[in-house]
Parts: sequence; structure tokens; C-alpha cells
Amino acid sequence: MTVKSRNKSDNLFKRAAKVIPSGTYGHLSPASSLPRNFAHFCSSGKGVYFEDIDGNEWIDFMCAYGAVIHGYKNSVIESAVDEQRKSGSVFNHPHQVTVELAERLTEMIDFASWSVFAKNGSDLTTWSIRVAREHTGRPLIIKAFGAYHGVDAWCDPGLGGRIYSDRSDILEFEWNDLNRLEDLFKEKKDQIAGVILTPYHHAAFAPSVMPSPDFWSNVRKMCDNNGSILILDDVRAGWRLHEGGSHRYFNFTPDLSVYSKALGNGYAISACLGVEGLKDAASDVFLTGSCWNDAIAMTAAISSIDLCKSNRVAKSVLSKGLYFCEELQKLASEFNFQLKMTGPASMPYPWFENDENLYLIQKFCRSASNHGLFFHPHHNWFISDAHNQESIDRSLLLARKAFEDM
Amino acid sequence: MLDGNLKSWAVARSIYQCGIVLSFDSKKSSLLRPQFIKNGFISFGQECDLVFSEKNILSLHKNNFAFPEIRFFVMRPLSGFRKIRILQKIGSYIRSNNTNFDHLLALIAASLEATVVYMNNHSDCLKIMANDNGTVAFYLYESEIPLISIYKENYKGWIVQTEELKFEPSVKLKFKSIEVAINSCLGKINPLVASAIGEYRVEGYLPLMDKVGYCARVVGKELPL
Repeated sequence: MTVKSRNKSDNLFKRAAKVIPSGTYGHLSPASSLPRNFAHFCSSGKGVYFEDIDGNEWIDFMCAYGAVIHGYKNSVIESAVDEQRKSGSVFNHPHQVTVELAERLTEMIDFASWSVFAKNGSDLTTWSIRVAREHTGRPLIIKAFGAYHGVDAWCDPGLGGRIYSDRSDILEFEWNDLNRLEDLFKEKKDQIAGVILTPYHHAAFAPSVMPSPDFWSNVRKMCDNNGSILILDDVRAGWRLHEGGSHRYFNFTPDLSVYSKALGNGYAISACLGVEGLKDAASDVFLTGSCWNDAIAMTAAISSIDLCKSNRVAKSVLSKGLYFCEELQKLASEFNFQLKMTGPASMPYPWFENDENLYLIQKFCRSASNHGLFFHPHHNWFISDAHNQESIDRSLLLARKAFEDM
Repeated sequence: MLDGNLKSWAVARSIYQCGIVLSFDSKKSSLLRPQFIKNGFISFGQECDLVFSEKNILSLHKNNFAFPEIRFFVMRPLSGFRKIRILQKIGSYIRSNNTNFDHLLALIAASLEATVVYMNNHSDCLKIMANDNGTVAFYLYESEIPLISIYKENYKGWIVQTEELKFEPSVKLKFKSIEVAINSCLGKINPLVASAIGEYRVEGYLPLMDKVGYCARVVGKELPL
């Protein structure tokens, strides 16, 4: 399989650049990946395959950057969505699926007694820290250095449009550095409203780092001892590690957790779930959005989480990912490359030894792209439940060719 | 350094760096190496024969002309005049409409020198670059030898390097053509678009390039070429 053409992609991008700042922005900006190897626009997708607008077919390992967990155009979800579409999407009042989704989620997520909905992870990571502030009456939030929690000014990874006060109430510590975290609690005694963390450290441009064995129990303890709220940003990892939320995988209990991405399998929805004790604070922090009561996205979410449960998707993607990661590592070593697939196998970040400047991973992903593999050099990959033995083996065969070309 | 002094210092350093890459000056002779002298004046060279007020340095940048401080100039008029001639030559290279290599070299040296001055001193840029180090090298597409590079040296901060690199840089920016490179220096190109359509190729540790690029755009807004 060879990528043959990119004329339509380039021409559309030139049109885009005239009417959209930078042509495409954020994590989808071509500049943040391999702009001359990857297509700039997609036209369709089914399962683990997608087609770009030049008609090139790709085997996907990014799953819309995690927004898809059951594969593109999953028939069960699409049928449910089609049915809901007949009734409509956004109304003057919430649709009953809002309540059904909240009931479903609070059943699945063991610590939670309530849920709210929005469209994106950022909507609710930002809202969640405000709930923590409202509940505690404190200003400060602790996060990990380099952790991504969304596009709002308190946490976005960009450089522009920022003023000092945006982050004056945000403190940071290195992931796994419990001593530093403890110091922050001491230095800012009775000022820490909450700690927001992802289940493991999945920064871009760097290998993923799992929590040390005592990390979560200690974070939980420090939050309890200091009367601070523990917020889990499970936007990226949610449903990829455990059907009941990633805290179950790492055996701890947050006070609030935020989900998106896999929740809607490509339909825009996010959810924040919380413990009973934060329900009043949650009521006092204003939350709304023009299309946030979107019955179609909520229907997709119900379908998606039902599938996650019935198909034991977290176990499935971890197991498929493990096979893929182990085989890819073996393949790399055949060609004398030391490749380590870091992080959980369902969302691995590839890391070549001594490749701090990323030249080797970029070369590998460029080479892989020539064989139709969508391997991103700077972001963790995703295994979806639509990956199967055939598509993974086929991908490994193409990856072999990519190594050969290197 | 106060942000107010920064602009004039960045301009003076840019002129000096231009002189080096165009071989009108050398690091050894340091004819134009700028230095602050008292009361906010900047001298080109140690001799204090060509001295400008900070305001006039900015005028030199904006209008390609400014009066030096006469009381210094008259003490050594010959060497002062010689330096003025060099400044004029540098100015003509920078303002040139030609799409040639020397024009590019002058522009990229001036742009990068001003950028590193900001990276080392400007309050926002300092914060952005606080934890970063490494080498950023700039190439014309096919060449393996960089046109110019910048790197961070302990205790000195970010420095422009014109000599050949003896190691692989942290990140490489390769321009498709001299024209693209010139337009980039002039701030006429959106880097994200240029990268997407193949006018640039960026390899290596992209986050460092993003930060340097952002600082360069801060300079471009404050000191447009």
C-alpha cells in the first residue's frame, strides 16, 4: 500500500488557510505531526480504516485522537443515532436521554452519584476545578507539569493570548514526585482547592509515565488530609483501561472525574461525575452551552458505554494493544532499533531509545505512512475495539516494510 | 534589562550580527559589538566613536537613518565615519529587494539575533524559554550545512551561531527556497501553513521550534523589519 496522491488535500488546505487561521488549528494542525506525509483532510472512515480526500486508505492507530473507541461508524451506535435523529437533537428542554445517560453513568462509575454534560473535555475540566473552589472556598489548583487538561487559559499548551493571572492560581509538580506534591500542600496550607491529574502521565512529545505503585494512594491521602478535592481527568483514558473508569484500573477513588473522547465514539459529548458531597457545589457553579443538551450525542454516549460494558472493551483493547505493542517492539529489535511502547497497551506512546529529539520516531512514522499506516510521532496512539487480529497483523506486516525502508 | 531598553539593544545586536555574517566585521575585531554606556546610550565598538541614544537606535531601525551623538563622533571622526559606512551597507542588505543569498543571510542573522536578545531578556519570552535548552538550526532545503543556528549556553543564555555545527541540533527548520526563507524572516509567512504546504520542513524536537518561533513573532511585532 503506498500513498499515491495528495493534490486534493493540499489544494483544500490552501483554501482553508485563506479562511481559517493556520488552515487547521490545535492538535489537528498538520504542523504538529508529519505535514508532508499525512493527509490534511479525511473523507470517510469505517472500523479501523479511514480514507483521505485523495482516496488514499489508511490503517488507523489514532482513532480520531482517542474520540473513537469502537471504530469509525460503528453500526450499533449509528443505528441508535439515526433513530434519535428522527426526533431531533437540541430542544428548549432537555431530552429524556439526558437523565438516562446520567443514570447509566452513575451506575457504571462506582463513586459517583451525579453527572453533568457538556461537549468537550475542556468544558468540564475547567468547570470541575471551579466546583472544587466553590466547595472548599480556596483558590489554588495543583496539576502535573506538561499534563494536558484542555484549551482554557489555566492549562492550555499554547503560548499566545495569556496573561499572568491566568495561571497565578495554578501550581505544578513533576508527575510521580510525591515529595514535591507534599511540599506544595505544606507551602500553601489551607489554600489548595484541588488536585487535577490524568490517570497516568500522557504528555505529548514524551514517553508516557505510569504512576508509581504508591502514587495514587498518597495523592488521595494528601487530598484527604488537606481537605482538597481530587479530580481525575479521564478524558483521554476513560473506557480504555477499565469499564468503570481509569481509577478502577489504578485502584483509587477520585472526588470528581471528567470523561469525553470514547464516551461518544465520535459524537461531541463530555461528562463530569462527582461524589454526593460535591453535588451542592456543583449546583452553584453555572454550567451551560448552546448545544450541550444534544440528544443525539447523548444517545451515542449511551450506546457507546453500553457497548463498552457488554463487549468488555477496556479488556479487549488492552489485550489487542499488548499483542500489537509486543510484536512491534520485537519487529523493531529485528532491525536493531530499541523501541519501547510506553504507557498502557491500549493507548501506547512509542519511544525509541536515545531519541530525545524525536528524529528516529519521525523517520519511522514517515516511513510507515508510505505504507498507509497512520502512526503519529508525537502523540500516544490508540487501539480501538475495531482493531482485530487481521488488521493488527496486516499493520505489523506493513510496519516491517517501514523498518526495511529505514 | 528593562523592556524599554530591550528594543534598542536588540536592534544594536542585530546590526552587529549582520556585520559578522556579511563579513564587514568579525567576532575577533568586534568593530561594531554594541555596548551600553552611561545614560542609556549604546556605542558600536569599544572606542565610543559611534554612539546613539536608544531613541535614535530605534530610528536607525525604523528609518534606516539616525544621527549619532556628535560629541562622541567628533572625538574620532574617521573611525566613526568608517562605521557609519558599514552601517549603511548593512542597512542596504537588509532593505534589499533582491532575493539572493546575502539578503537572506543579513535578514536571518538580524532576526535571530533580535530573537535571542528577547529570549534572554524579555519577561514573557524568558518565561516561555525558562526550562528549554538545545540547538535550533536553519537550513536551505537540500543542504546538510545549516545557514545559521541558535543554542543555549550555560550562564550566557541563547546565542546565535554562524559556524558549522559539530553535532545534530535538537530541531531543524529547512526552508524550501531563499524566497521562502526571506519571507519568513519578514514575517510574511504563517509557519503552520508553510509547514503544511511544504515550504518549511521542521524535524526534531518541535516544541522548541514552536517556542523560538513564538518569541520571533513577539520580536516581529515590536521590531518589524
